Amino acid sequence: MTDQTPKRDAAANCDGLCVSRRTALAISAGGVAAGWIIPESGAAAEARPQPQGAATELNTYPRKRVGSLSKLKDGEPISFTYPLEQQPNFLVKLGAPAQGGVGPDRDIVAFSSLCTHMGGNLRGRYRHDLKAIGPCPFHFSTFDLAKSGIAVHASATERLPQVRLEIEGDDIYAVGVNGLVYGFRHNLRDGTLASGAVLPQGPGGSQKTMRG
Amino acid sequence: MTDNSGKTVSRRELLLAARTPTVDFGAYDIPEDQVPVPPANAQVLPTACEYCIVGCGYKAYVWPVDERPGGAKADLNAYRANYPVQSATGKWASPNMHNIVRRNGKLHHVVVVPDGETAVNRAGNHSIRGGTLAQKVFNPTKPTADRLQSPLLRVRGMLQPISWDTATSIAAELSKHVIAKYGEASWAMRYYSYHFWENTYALTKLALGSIATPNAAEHDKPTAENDATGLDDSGVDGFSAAYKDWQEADVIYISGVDPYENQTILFTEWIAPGGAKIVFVNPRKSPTAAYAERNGGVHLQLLPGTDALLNNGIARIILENGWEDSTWIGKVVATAEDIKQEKSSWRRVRFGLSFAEYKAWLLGDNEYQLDNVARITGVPAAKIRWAAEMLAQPRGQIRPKASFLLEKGNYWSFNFPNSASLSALGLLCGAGGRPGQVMSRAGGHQRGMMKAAGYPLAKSPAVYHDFRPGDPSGGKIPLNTDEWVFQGKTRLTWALGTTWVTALSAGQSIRDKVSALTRRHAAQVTSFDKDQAIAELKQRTDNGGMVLIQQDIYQNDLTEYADLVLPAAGWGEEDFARAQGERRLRIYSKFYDAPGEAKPDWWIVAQVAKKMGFSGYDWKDSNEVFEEAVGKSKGGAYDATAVVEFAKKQGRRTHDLLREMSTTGIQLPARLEGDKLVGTDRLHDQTFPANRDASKIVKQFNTASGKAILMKGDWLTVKPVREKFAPKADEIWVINGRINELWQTMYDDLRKPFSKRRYPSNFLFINPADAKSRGIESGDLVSVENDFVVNILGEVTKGSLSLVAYVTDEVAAGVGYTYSFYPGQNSNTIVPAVTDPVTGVYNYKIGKGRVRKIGETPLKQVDGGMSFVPRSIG
Ligand code: SF4
Ligand code: FES
Repeated sequence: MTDQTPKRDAAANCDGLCVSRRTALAISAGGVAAGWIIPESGAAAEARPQPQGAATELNTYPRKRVGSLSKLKDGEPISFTYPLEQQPNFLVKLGAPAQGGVGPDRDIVAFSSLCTHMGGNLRGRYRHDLKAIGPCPFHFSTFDLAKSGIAVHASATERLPQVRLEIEGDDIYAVGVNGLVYGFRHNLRDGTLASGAVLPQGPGGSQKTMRG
Repeated sequence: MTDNSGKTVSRRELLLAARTPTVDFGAYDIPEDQVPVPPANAQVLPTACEYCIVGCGYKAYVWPVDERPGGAKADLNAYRANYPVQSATGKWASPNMHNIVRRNGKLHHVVVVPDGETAVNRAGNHSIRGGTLAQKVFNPTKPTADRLQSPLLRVRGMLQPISWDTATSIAAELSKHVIAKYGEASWAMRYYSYHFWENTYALTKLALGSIATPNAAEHDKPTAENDATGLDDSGVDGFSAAYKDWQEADVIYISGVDPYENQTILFTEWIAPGGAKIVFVNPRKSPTAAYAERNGGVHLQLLPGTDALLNNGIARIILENGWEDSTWIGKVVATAEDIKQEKSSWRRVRFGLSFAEYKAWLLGDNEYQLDNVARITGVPAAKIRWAAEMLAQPRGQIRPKASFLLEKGNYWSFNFPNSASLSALGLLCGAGGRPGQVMSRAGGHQRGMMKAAGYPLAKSPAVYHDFRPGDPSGGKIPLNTDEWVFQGKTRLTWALGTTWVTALSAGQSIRDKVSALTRRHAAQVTSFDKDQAIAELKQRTDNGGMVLIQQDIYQNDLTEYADLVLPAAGWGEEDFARAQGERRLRIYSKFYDAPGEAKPDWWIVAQVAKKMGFSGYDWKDSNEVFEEAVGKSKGGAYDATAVVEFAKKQGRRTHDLLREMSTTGIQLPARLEGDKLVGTDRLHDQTFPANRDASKIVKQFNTASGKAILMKGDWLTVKPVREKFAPKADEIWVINGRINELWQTMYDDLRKPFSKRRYPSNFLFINPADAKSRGIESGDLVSVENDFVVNILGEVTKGSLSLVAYVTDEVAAGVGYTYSFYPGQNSNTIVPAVTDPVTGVYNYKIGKGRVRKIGETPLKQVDGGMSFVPRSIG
């Protein structure tokens, strides 16, 4: 069992805030443990492999183009990995200004797709009417995307990590992450550099901490 | 070492912010993006959560700061985990689970991680509250820097450090003085019931044993009364169930509690995985209400204070249809003859009914007809009927396994009638002491009370108002400690781990009174000279005033009235033990040094007791107190005598044995079977094998006859009181309770920026219709004013509270909801001190007021820190 999708769909039948008996028992028994979190890009969708050979040890956040202003549609999340290939995120135009939001309306934000409680995959749980994501299929955590990923109600002990964004012309770039991605001890260790991510050249690269 | 160099908020700002309501943390803090990993040789110490009743298992991993941290491979770290860690394994620590502490004088990293190996929060599940335990520990570079670190005496108006010797001498001398001159009832102790057996034993040994004062009460009540009294009287212990029972139930009736919010792991790990349908009885459409309705259950959104009517209305439908569990009733429910045996409980004699009497009463009183019940409770008749069907209608030969869960929304609105009507409904449905068919409190704090002596009821002057000659124990009830203060009869109060003035009802009135008796009294301490200080405080007690001793870990809303403040050492700073919501006894290991001169409560109490001339307080460590305390548990729900015996046989300290039993511990009562130590799943267990030896409470109900009693929870005693205190004209109900992200008086949450960020202010959930008619939007500052806050003397006072509006259909029109214990914004300000006539417990939930917009807060802005997204979403 390496895919969470059937479980998530089962939960979707009851409109989100529920866990079927079977799913929850599987969680309790550690049945989900085998479920590598699946990046949403689809490319690595089978199972997240342990990084082969020496893992990347980055000292600073890379830069990656994750979308374009002209193509991004209100309320339609786009998936991308960043900063490591093993770290799935989503980019979304909320349609209302947000903390850390970029673009002319300050409404474009990006967050990790992994619940900071115990790693539940939040994919497919964006609520455009509320500018929030959740409830998590595992234990219902729900995060406010307009308020830098704080809990609406949550068992999570961290906000949903927010990807820092920059705009250059029509391009939207990921340049850093506020908060630790679930499963990691460091956002830049124990994985491989995300495809398409570029390390800054020389000094003056992307700052580690920036106001979100 | 993780540092905070990227942060833009200084420690000083954080401290100030922590203590001020309505502070905006929005867009200021940047969360960490890394966390240290314990090396493979880190020390691992078992503990359990400080907070809610569930008592999730945790482990503290500790290692010196100058040692290399662990690596990414399983053999290189103490979790035995490969990074990145997989989901739902309980092997990932977030940055909020890490801190720096001093251990044996040296700086150490500590990571406090939910334990994947416990029987409680399996797979390392946890709530936001316990998950952030590491942020509660003392660290002088963080918001916990303001921990109390030395005894303080108020000299010339200012609290200033003094020595332990001076502090305990002042406490002892003043105590001796008031007891000698005014009797022991002039000496009051208000104490927590939860903070570990070692401490509660020591302080009740002094208060109820050595001094034997009737002027004593637990933190959450004005009297030494039980909590869910109607349930207790029926013979069902408040914590009789095993958590697995909730998983085995087919349907669960949840009354006055949101277990997702308040007993999170009970819900996410036991109730939800079991898949039971839920009948959710609550004025709020909270997250569990949304869950219930989406999973085949029903939300009975009743109006505040109508629980007894609803419970009895459902019972009547069951009786009308003959759906009651007759076999069960015939076997376990007490007859009129059985009830006569209850020589020590006047309430059982007065309000206990045989099944025939109960049935005749409910069917004979038209108040309980479905239409009337629907009209008054505000719950549609069809939903009430559906609930009755779910709970009790047999499917062919098979009855649904129904279980019943209640908490303060039930027994803190109208204490006795609400809890009695619920327990009778449960018995009717076959619940109480069978797998999947149980009745229990959901619980608030953990079970940390081990009383050294009983309450001296004979010394209480209070009597049930309708007392009849011949009632057992003379119809006596414990005295109301607030009333005693108002009447000037309390000369000294020692308050431990309770904010008192911001917790009990009619708070404004209590604060005024306590202030007059202490800070505003003419007699004040003007010198550090011990004898002079004592003489000046004696002047106070001899001239109508009161001396207030506070013992706690932080200053709080009570401190401004305190004369003497004693710094306590708490969780993680001493080896302690207590039980949780399924009576599981565990060790709470010491893993770091208490700040400054802070001492465990048992030690402080012992110093004062010895200086007062009492003997029996020469304990050398907390294990010694524990082993003595356990002697008092014999035969009860928390009987741990076998655990001590087992340890002694092996020549070990009991605390050490418990440490070895780690985060799973043992469910009490414990007993020895041969050379095996055995625990107990559930109490009153009707499936317990007859040929096995166990104490009475394990096999039978907790009554003289061993049968369960149908207690009469009479709505008609509620009705006139509720009407009197109901909203009038443009007022709305303003009820109160807990919320997922906050714990209790927020003594820790105030100092956890992550938690405080969610609710930087107390809030008023207000229905969109009520908001619209008052021009209120989410983020506005609103006032709630109640001009009818009757205090304990019956005087009409007023109360005012300002809150941030949170517009949501979580509450119905005409009903608002606010957090109970937000420091500086306490809901008790607008709640009258109305006591239950049978038990003397306050109706804490029955508040109301006029709501009006008085401004806007920065929280309303995009950069404001608070979320106003509706919480019952899916
Ligand atoms: S559910 Fe209760 S005991 Fe468990 S972690 Fe949360 S607060 Fe602690
Ligand atoms: S993994 Fe538990 S709430 Fe998301």
